[in-house]
Amino acid sequence: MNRVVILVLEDEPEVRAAVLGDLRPFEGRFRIEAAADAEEAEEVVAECIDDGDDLGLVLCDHLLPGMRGTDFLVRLNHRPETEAARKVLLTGQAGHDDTIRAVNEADLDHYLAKPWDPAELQAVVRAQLTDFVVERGGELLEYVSVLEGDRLLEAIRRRAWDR
Amino acid sequence: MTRRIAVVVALSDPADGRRLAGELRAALGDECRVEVCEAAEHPADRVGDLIREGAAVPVVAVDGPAPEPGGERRPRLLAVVPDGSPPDPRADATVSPPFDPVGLRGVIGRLVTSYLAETEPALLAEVPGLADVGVLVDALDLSRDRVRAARSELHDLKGSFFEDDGLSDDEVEHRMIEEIDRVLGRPPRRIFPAGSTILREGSPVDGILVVLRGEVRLYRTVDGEDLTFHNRTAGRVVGLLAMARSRPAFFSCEALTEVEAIPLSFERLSDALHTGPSLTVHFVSVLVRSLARRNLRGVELQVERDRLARDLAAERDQLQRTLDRLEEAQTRLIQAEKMATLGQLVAGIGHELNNPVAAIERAAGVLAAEIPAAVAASGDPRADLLAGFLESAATGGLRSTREERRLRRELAEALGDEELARRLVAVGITGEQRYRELFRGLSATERDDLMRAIETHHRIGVALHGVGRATRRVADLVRSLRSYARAGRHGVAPTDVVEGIEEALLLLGHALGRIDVVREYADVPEITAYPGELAQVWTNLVANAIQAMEGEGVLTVAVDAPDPGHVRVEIVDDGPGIPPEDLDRIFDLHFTTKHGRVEFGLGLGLRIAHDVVTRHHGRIAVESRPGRTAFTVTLPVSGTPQAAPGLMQGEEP
Repeated sequence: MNRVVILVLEDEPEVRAAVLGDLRPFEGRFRIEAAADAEEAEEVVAECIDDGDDLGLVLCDHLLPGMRGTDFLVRLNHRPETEAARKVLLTGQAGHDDTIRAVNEADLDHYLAKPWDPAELQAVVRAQLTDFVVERGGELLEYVSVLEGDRLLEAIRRRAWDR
Repeated sequence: MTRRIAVVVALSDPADGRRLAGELRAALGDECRVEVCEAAEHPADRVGDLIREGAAVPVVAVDGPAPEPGGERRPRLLAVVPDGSPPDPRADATVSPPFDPVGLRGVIGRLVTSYLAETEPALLAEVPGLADVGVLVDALDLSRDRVRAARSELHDLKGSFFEDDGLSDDEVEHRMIEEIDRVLGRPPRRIFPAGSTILREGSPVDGILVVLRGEVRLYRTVDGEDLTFHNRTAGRVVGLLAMARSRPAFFSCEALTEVEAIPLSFERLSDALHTGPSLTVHFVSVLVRSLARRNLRGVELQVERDRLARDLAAERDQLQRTLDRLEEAQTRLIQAEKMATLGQLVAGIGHELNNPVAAIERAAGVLAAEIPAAVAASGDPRADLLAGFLESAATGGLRSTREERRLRRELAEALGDEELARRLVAVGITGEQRYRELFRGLSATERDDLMRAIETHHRIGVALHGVGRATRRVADLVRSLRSYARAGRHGVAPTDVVEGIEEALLLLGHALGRIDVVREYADVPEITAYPGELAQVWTNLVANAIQAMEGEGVLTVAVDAPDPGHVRVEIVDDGPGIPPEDLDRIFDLHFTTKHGRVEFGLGLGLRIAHDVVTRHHGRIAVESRPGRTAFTVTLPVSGTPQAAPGLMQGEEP
């Protein structure tokens, strides 16, 4: 089926619910999954891969029970199936060192501070997913209404030209 | 045997000579030989020959010009003159013919005695009859005087060199100067004004300087600095080392006061020393004393330097110890200051947050009550249904993400529509049956419309739930901040230990995660304590255990009474344990923010717990190994706990 997956990794239920609420514009077009800790997130990623879906974006808190968000992102970056996924850190408490590590080793794409502005969160997700789907190749037209339409149309025109 | 004593007759006329010789032999008998010089022979040669042969020649009789005999032992001259002539002034005795034997013998005897007494007194024994007693006595007196003089001189010398004459340095120096003046006829003086440089280190020296008056300083310039070697120890003679070593000046010499001195070139000094032996004695004495004094000064300097070095080392050690103590004190002060600052900060934040949090809490309560009522009263035929979704979301809490995925998969299989299943499970419709009931007989548009309405009301419920939960947490946090700030202000009260522990577990519930809490509570009496302060102990110990376990494991909390007078609390975690090297310092102050999360009181937690327990006259102990760390607090049931010092200064309005 090859859907694009958005994974939310957040251990506090209320915060997770809030993030998922803010992702409603992407429902339907994307597969949205949530996990409370890194271990569960690994399970979800494995399931998605089994289902033939592509991990497109990870929204991840910095502090999690067990493993830190940064460590999870670094791991994803070391696996070919998940390497291309866009990584966004959503946190209120990342120390300086952690942030540097996330940028350097996990190839962090964006950093959002808590508390976040829903419009900004949606804009970041839209931009990152647009990058992802363009780089991934495949059908782009279906995303024009939910992602950055102008950039997608431009990409579609360029592809037609190249062909 | 040949007589060793010979009298030589050397008259100008050999016939006269032989006659006199005959007269002498008659007069002297066999005590002396009498030799006669031939005409051609010089009497000095004959005397020389005789002396070389081993003879002693005390007397030469002459009638002409006096002979010049060689050698040290000049014989006595006996002048033979015609009767009535004046005696020869160079002669030791004079005789005139006609000779009488007794007279001749007397004259010769005096001359021989005088000569031998002076040169070879031992030979007098060979001529006992001839020796003249009067001459002998005179000669003896003379020798005695000489011996006395020699002894005296020897004594002076010894005294000068070895200072056993009891003379002071000044006196010896004074004598030397007197001698210099005497021998050199008062050489000219020179005046150096105070502060002038008399001699410069390294410059050539051609003489010495004898200081009569004033003070000098001897110094060397080392690394651009003047080092004084001698002040009072300089002595009277400047240029000593240069003289002794024939080198350029070793020291520089500066006049400290006006200085009067006698400059003496080495040449002049040498002459003077040769001329006056007593000057030598005094000069050498002064030199020896000067050098001895300087040498002594050197030894003193060395001793002084060693002492200073020891003093310096001791002082340095002392300073280091003081510095260490100061650093320690500073560290303590800084930490105390941190705690005080933190306390004020906590009190301030608690106070500031109090009113807004109360307002939010009230508002959330109003919303939770009024929104479902408003929905129910909306007049919508589906009002009750939608209000139900809202309320169940607002009160029911959230399912875990894992559970939600499971339910979603099951429903998706039943319905064959993954997206629909996701939306249904999200709003709490988890069974196919329930779905069918709700949506039976509806058109696609109606179904879609109902689904959206349910989702909206569900979201409102979830939001209300979140607001409520979050507000409660903030309110709890503010309350706990305020209880820290007011610790000790509540006063002593009968305190239920178990209740305090339960409050702590409640407060930290959000941090427990997958940690199981095992409670082992025995019946224990209430204790006399500051409840607010004890609350900090339990909070800190539980928080510490939770942190050690990192999200999972078993936390065991046990309360019992080991004896009727005490209550014991044991908080045990199964975390990795505390390294033995840290165990000793565990109750020390260390301020940490643990994973970047600032946790009020917890960074200082164990220290605070320790202080509170101590003020309650209780004990706190820790045992740790990998897999089991146990903190044990034992408190007296009835005690007189001490209030916390004014560390937390938050004042209630």
